[in-house]
Amino acid sequence: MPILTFKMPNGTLVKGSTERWVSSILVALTPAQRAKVFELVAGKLQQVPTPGQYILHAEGLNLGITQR
Amino acid sequence: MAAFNKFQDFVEQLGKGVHHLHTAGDTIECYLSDEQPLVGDTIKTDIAEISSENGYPGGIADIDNDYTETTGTGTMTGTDLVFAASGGGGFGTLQFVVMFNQTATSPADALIGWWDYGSSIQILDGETFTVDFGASILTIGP
Repeated sequence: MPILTFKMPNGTLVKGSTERWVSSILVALTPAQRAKVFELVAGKLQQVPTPGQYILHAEGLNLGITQR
Repeated sequence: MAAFNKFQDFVEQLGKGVHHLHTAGDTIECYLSDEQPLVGDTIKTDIAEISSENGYPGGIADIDNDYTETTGTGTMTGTDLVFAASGGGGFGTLQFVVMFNQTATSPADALIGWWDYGSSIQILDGETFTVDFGASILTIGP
């Protein structure tokens, strides 16, 4: 997941790379402020998180059998 | 994306016929842990599960697994899991999702693999923790 930079409502620039981080930021904001953050992250995360919704995106594994 | 980490014993038990990953085969489940899994772990009791409380059922998170083959590649799939904290309390802390074979008896509850959330978190009342498996859990093939 790429590093994302957000401009918070108070003008502060913060960086983060995980949905948990985004979620932890959102819990401290008002609904109106969250909506603004959603505008910033929409399209950049697999799924725009809401506060308190933690998501682990489980990557698949290929055990691999080479065919000769 | 959290990488799938396989337990070394999984490939041994797979070859010995312990694991039946299709729907009619074994029941594959996941549990949550705050203990770092080791590649040499073999059974569920090697890695402590978090306490069963406040919406976390403990050891009964059936992923409704299935296994199919298409043009030489076998694919294991499963249903996403959602753990919702409720009842006025939360659960955790947790960091790891561990998958095991609940049906296996020798070894009992044989481990398959795990994912690392990346940090230890507590799920508070009203919050959820989702495990999104995507298109496949594992594939065997070229």
